[in-house]
Amino acid sequence: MNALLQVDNVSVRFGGLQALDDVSLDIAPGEIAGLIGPNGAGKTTLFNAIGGLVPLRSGGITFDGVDIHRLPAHRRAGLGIGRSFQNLGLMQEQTVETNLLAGLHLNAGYGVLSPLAQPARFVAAEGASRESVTAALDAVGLGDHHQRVVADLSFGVARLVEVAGLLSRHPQLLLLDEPTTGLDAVESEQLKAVLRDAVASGTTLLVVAHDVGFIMDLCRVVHVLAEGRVLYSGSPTGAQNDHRVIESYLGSARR
Amino acid sequence: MPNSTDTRSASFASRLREKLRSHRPTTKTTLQIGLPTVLLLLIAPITSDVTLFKIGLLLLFAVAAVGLHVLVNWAGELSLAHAGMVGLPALVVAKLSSDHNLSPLELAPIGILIGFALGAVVAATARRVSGLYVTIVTLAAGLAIDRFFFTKPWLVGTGNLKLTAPRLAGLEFGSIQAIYPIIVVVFIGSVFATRRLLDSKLGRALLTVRSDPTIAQAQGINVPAYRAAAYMFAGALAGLAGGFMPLWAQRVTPDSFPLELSFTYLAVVVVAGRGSINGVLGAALLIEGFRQFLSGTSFIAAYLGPVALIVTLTRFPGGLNQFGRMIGGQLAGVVGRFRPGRSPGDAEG
Amino acid sequence: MEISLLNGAFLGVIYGLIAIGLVVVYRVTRIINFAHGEIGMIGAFVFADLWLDHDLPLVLAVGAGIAVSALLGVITEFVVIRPLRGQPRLTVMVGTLGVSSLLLVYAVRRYSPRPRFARPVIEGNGFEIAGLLVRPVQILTLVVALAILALLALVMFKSSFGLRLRATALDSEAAAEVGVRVGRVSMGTWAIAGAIAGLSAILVSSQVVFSAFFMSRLMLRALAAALLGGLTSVTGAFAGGIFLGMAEGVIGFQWIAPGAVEASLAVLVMAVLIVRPKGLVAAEY
Ligand SMILES: Nc1ncnc2c1ncn2[C@@H]1O[C@H](COP(=O)(O)OP(=O)(O)O)[C@@H](O)[C@H]1O
Ligand SMILES: [Mg+2]
Repeated sequence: MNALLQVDNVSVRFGGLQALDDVSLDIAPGEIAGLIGPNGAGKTTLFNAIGGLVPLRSGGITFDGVDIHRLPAHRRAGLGIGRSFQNLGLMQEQTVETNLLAGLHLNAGYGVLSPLAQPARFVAAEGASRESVTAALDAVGLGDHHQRVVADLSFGVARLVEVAGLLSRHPQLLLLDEPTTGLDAVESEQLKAVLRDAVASGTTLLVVAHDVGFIMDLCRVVHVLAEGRVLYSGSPTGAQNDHRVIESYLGSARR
Repeated sequence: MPNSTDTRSASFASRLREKLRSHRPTTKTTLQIGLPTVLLLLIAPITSDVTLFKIGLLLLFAVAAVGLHVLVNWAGELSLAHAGMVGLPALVVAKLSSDHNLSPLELAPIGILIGFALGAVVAATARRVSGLYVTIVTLAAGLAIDRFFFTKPWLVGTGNLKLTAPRLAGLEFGSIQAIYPIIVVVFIGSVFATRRLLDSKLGRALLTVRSDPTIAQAQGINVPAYRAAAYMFAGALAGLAGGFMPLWAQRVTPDSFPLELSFTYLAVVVVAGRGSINGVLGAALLIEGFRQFLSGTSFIAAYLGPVALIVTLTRFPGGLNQFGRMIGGQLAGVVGRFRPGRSPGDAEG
Repeated sequence: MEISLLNGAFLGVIYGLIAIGLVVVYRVTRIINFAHGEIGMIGAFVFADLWLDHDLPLVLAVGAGIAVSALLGVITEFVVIRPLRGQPRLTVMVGTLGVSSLLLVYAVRRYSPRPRFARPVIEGNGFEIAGLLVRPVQILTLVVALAILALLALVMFKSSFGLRLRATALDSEAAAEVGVRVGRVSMGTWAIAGAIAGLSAILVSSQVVFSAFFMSRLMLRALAAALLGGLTSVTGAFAGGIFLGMAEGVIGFQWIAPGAVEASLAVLVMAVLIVRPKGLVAAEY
C-alpha cells in the first residue's frame, strides 16, 4: 500500500454534531481525486482534519509515510500539504504580489533574521521568490495583476490567483475546496489546464467540486461523502450509477 | 562552435545582469540611509542645545513607537505596557552606570536585552491566548512595572542618579553635540533594520497572521511563534530606545515614564495607520513633537493624543499612511507620465 | 489576619461592583470598555459638585451623577462603538481607550489632579464586625451591588429587552435578521453600563483617595475580577472581585512593599490565562 495520504477511521465532532464519522480513504501519489457530496457532508471538515485545523476525535492520518495527526497545522504545511479555502485563502486588503510572496513563506530560502544578517542571501532569495511569483501569475494569464489589490478583483480571478500561489509552492499534495464555484467557463478551463500541468510535474490533487463535468473531466477516482460518512470510492462513472450516491443527493435535494 | 560562444556570452550577459540587479538595491539603500542621516546631522550645528535635546528625545520616542507599530499595525496585537518597556531598561541602565561607574553608552545595549525579556514574558501568554486576553496581560504588566519596579530603590535609585560621563573605546562624549550623532545612528539604524524586516518574510507573515490566522497556518506560518515574536520585537525596540535614554537625558526618573505615556505611544501608531514606518515618524512628530516643542499651548497638547486617536480611528482608519499612499499614488502617476515603463510601487513596507 | 480578610472583602465589593459594569458591556459587544472607570468618575465629580458645592439634595445629586454617566455611555457608543462595528475587537477597544484618556484629560484640567473632598452618601458611626469597624457606606455598597445583580438578572431573563440583548450577544447578525434593532440594544446596554459606572463611582468615591484617577486606579483590579469570572458572568465577576479583595487584604498584610499587590496581580492574571485560557467560569446567557 503506497498511498501518499491515508485517512484512517477519522471522526470529528462539533458538540453534538458528528461532522466526520469513521472516514477512511487513500490518495495515491500523482492522482487527481475528486471529493463530492451534498452541502454539509463534511468535505471542508475533512480538509481541516487533514490540514490540522480541527482536532480528531479518533482515527489517524498518514502523509508520505509519516503519522501527522498530532502535528500542528503549520508543520503539516511544511511537509508539503497545501490547501485552498472555500472563501479564498487570500488577504483581501493586500496586493496580489504581497499575497503570493506571503504564501511562499516556507519557500523563502532564508531565515527570519537573514535580511539583517545575510543581506546578500536575502536579496538573492527575494529575487528568486519574485520570479516564481511572476511565473505563477503568467501561468494563469494574470501577468499584469501584480499590484492589484485582491478586494478589487472578481471572485473568479481571485480564485485563480489563490491557486497560482498554491502551485508556486510546489506542494506534494494539494487540497482544493470548491475551486470552480464562481468561475466562468473560460476560467474553469484555465483552471483545469494549470491543474493538469501541476499533476504532470508531480503534485497530487484532492478536489472538492459541485461541477460534475469538471470532476468527470479531471478525476479518475472520486470519493463521495454524505453526513460525515464515505458512501462510495471508485470511478466517477461508477458513482453516477451508485444507488446510495443518487439517494443521498436526491435526499438532500428533497430536504 | 558558434553555439558554444553564444551560450558563453549569454551566460556572461545574464551574470552581468544578475550582478547589476543585486547592486541596484544597495545603491538605493545607501541613498535611503545616507540622505536622512546627513540631514539629521546637519540640524545639530544650526540649533541650540535645548532644541537639539528635544530632537534627540523625539528620535528615541520614534524608535520605541516603531516597535509598537510593528506590534499593532502589522501583527494586529495591542500593548498597554509600552512606556514600562521603555522605562525599565532606561532606569536599569542608569542605575548600573551610576553604581558601577560604567559609561551609559557601553551599557545602552543592555536595554535591548531587558526590553526583549519583558516582551518575552508577555509573549509567553500570547502563545496561549488571543489578543484581547494578552491586552489584559500588558495592562497588568505595565501597572506592575510602574507600581512595583519603579518604586524599588535597588533598581531605580533614589531619584538622583549621578551618571558617569559617556565614553566608548577611550573616547569621551562630553557635550550634547558629541552624543547627538550616536542617537541619529540608533534612530536611522532601527528604522531601516525594521523596514528591511517588514519587507521580508517576517513582515508578510505578520500581515497574514493579522489578516487570518487560519490561512497563515495553512501556509506554514507558526502563528503563536510569530505573534510572540512581534511582542519580543516591540519590547526590544522599546528597550533600545530606553537603553539610550540615560546617555541622552543624563537624568532619568520613573516620572519620565508615566502610565499615560503608553497611551501616547498607542495614539501615535493609530494615527500612523497600517503599513509604512513613515506614518509613524509623521505621527510621532505630530503628537510628541507638538508636546515637546509647543507645550506653551497646553490645551491643545493635552487633548491632541486622545482626540487624534478617536478621530483617526473612526473617520480616517487608514491614518497618515493612507494619506501618504494617496499622495504617493498621485506623484507616481505624474512621474509615470514622464518615465513610461515604470509601474507605481507598493507603498507598503 | 481575619481583619485583613474582612477588610479585603469589602474592598472586593468595590472591585466586583466595577467589574459588573465591564461584564455588561463585554457580553453584548465582546470588547473591554477601558473607559468604564472614567465614565463613572465624571459622574461622581458631577455628583460631588452638586451635592457638596451647590447644596443640592442628595437624591437629586446622585440621580444627576448617574444620568451624566449614562449619557457618557451613550455618547461613547455613538461616537466610537457604532462607527467601529465590524472592526476587529482590539480596534474597538483602542477606541474606548481614547475615550478614557479624553475624559481623564478633561477631569484633570477642569478639577486639577489633586485629591478632593468626598463625603459618604450615608454617614454614621458604623459598627464592629470581628474587630473591624465597618462603615455604613461599605454596607450600602454591598447592598447596591447585590441589588444590581438581581436587577440585571431580572432584566436579562424576564424582560423583552433582555431577550433582544441575549440574542444580540449570541449573534448580532442573526438577531438583526429576526428584527432586533441591534443599534438600540447596543445603545441601551451602554446606557445601563454607564449608569452602573456612575453609581459605583459615587459609592466608591468616599472609600478611596478621590481624585481624577480614582476609578482608573481600580480598573485593572476590576478587569482581573471580571476575568476570574470568565468575563461573561456578572455573578462570577462579583465573586471574582471579592476573592481578589480578600487576596489583596492578605498580601497587603504579609508583604507591605509598595506595588506588591500590583506585581501579584500581574502574576495572577498571567497564571490564570496560561492555566485556564478559556477563563475560569463558562459563559452563561
Ligand atoms: N467549526 C465548526 N463548528 C461547528 N460546526 C461546524 C464547524 N465546521 C463545520 N461544522 C458543521 O459540520 C458540518 C459539515 O460541514 P462542512 O465540512 O463545512 O461541509 P461541506 O464542506 O461538505 O459543505 C456542517 O453541518 C457544519 O455546520
Ligand atoms: Mg465546504
